[in-house]
Amino acid sequence: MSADLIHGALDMLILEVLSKGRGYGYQIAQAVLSESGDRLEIKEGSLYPALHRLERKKWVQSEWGESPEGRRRKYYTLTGTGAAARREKRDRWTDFAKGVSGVLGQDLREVAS
Amino acid sequence: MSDGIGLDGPPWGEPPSDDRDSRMVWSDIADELADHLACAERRETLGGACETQARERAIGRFGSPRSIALQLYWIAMKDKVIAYRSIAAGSVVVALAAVVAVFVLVNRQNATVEQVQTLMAQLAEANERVDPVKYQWGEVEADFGSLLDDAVIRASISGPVFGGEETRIQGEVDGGSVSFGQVHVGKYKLSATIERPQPWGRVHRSFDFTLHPGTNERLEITPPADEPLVPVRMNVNWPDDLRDAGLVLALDAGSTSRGWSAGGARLLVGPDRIASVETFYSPSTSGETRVHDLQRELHPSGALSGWSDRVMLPSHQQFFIALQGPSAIASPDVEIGVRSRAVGGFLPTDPRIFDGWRVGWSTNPDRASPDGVIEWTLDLPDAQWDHIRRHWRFSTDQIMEVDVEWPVEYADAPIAFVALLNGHDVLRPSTEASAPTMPSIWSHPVVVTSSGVATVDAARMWEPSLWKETLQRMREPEHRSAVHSSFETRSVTLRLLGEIRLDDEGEPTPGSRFTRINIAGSGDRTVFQVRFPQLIEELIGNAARGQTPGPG
Repeated sequence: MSADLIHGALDMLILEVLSKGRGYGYQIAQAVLSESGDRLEIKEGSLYPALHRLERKKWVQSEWGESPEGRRRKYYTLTGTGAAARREKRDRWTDFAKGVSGVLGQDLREVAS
Repeated sequence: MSDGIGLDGPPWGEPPSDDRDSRMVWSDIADELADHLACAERRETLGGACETQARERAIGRFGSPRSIALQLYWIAMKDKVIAYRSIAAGSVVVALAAVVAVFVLVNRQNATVEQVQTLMAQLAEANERVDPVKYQWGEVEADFGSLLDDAVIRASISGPVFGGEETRIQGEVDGGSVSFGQVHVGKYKLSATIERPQPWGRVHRSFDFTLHPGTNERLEITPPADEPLVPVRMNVNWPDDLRDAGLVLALDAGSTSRGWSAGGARLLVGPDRIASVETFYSPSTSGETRVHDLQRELHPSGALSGWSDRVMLPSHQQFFIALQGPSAIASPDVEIGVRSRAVGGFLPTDPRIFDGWRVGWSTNPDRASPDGVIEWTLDLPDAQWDHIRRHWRFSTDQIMEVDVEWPVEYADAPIAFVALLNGHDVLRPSTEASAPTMPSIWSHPVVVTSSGVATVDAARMWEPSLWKETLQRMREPEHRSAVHSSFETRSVTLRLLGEIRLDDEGEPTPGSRFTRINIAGSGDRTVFQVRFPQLIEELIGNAARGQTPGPG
């Protein structure tokens, strides 16, 4: 899928992944890839500026932990504000997707299936 | 900080700045990226890749670690810079209060030494906290005005964004303005692409600006005014004999738009092509004026060879050009110069053949033909075409003999000159018909003696050994063919660079070099006749009499 399309939805994807629990950068990238059925392959590095921006907005917060191999690892967690932002983005995206699907003459359920 | 995964050091490199805060921020960034890349490498290794392949693939899927690290660094530093500014502002207040307190105490003359010393120490501490380094950041914003509601703007700046190496960052577009956030002070180039519906099309612009310490920069970039393009048909009534002469007219077409073009469009119009030279400027809040020159040329077919926001269509000896706004129509006066055209392109200005003057274009009384096109017609008086004709013939004669008028009474003077022979088009010794040619402008070193002019190797032109070889060649009859006094060329000037003194045996000795002297040739159409100015003649005379040269 076009990188531009993914880029526009990156914040929402990150918030969505983190809504299921805390995660670190590589894990989030893999979650986006696997949960999209390998359709949304992002340039992995682009994830980090988005994560840091979200942290700056206080939509996510981070803490340092340790990987099983002993490396420092930064974990991100969704905040309350982030959860609200996620809901809003999700609603807007659903509206948008319905609109596009309508124009394309597709039922959103068909698209999802 | 992690050691990273690269054999040649971490792929994210060193922090842009070496202060403690930067190193701490960078350390966290490096650890986070190192963790990701280690995970990615492991994934690739499990997939069967060797260590090197795994590293390459991990970085390939990640993107540039350096670029990502710099982005993260900036995001982190934004908050710190804001914090520094608050601290610095508070410190200034403390410092001022301390100065006032010292002043009051001393004036009352009842302050103890300890009191004053304490206050002075506080003052010094406050002063240290006002770290000038922390003021090295400022906001940069570009305002494209409110006229661009229908435009898609993309803009980036390149410069010492993070305080170190040159980096390019994209701005965040919000309506007609683009924000680049806080960047380090320094010299920058702003590049912008503005895409608007037809007939405007896509326009690229770039400007230089400087972000000064302790300031913000708001660039006010005025786009072309939102006025309709007006098609203008330029009719040049070329005389028959000049139509194929390869001439162009350089003309200034007045102001074409607000803000973008200081002097209007400068056009080069020829019978089969048209080009434009434009100077753009943009004012800034810092008071600097940024200037950007652009030259572009149309293909003979009329298609632009580069980008353009204008449409130009040639018709037989007529050109359409779309100019913006009524101002272009209101002042159709043009400055016209004649420029000879070299093979494959326009020649730079040659002061010997260029001559400009202002004439008025005659315009259609209705200002527009039935098809809605503004008519501009240039019909020069015969005297002016004659003027052009004379220059053109002079500049396009193929054989130009370089005739140096050496003072006859000093034919044996022990002196020669190193000079540059400058000309247009082709320099080809007339005795060597197959010699390589040098197109367009050339500047060739020569040695000038009483017996003629000889070309010399440019790389060795200041070596006395070369002069010796050259002078020997010029004296020996069997090498006379190497001595040229005529060249196939156009529009020549001679620039004397220095003198060569000869000893009693005719051997060259390094002589004094004098100020460069341009000697424009005179004469008729085929002979470039060099007559030395009085100063040089005196020099030759002095050499003949064995005197020390006078000019320095």
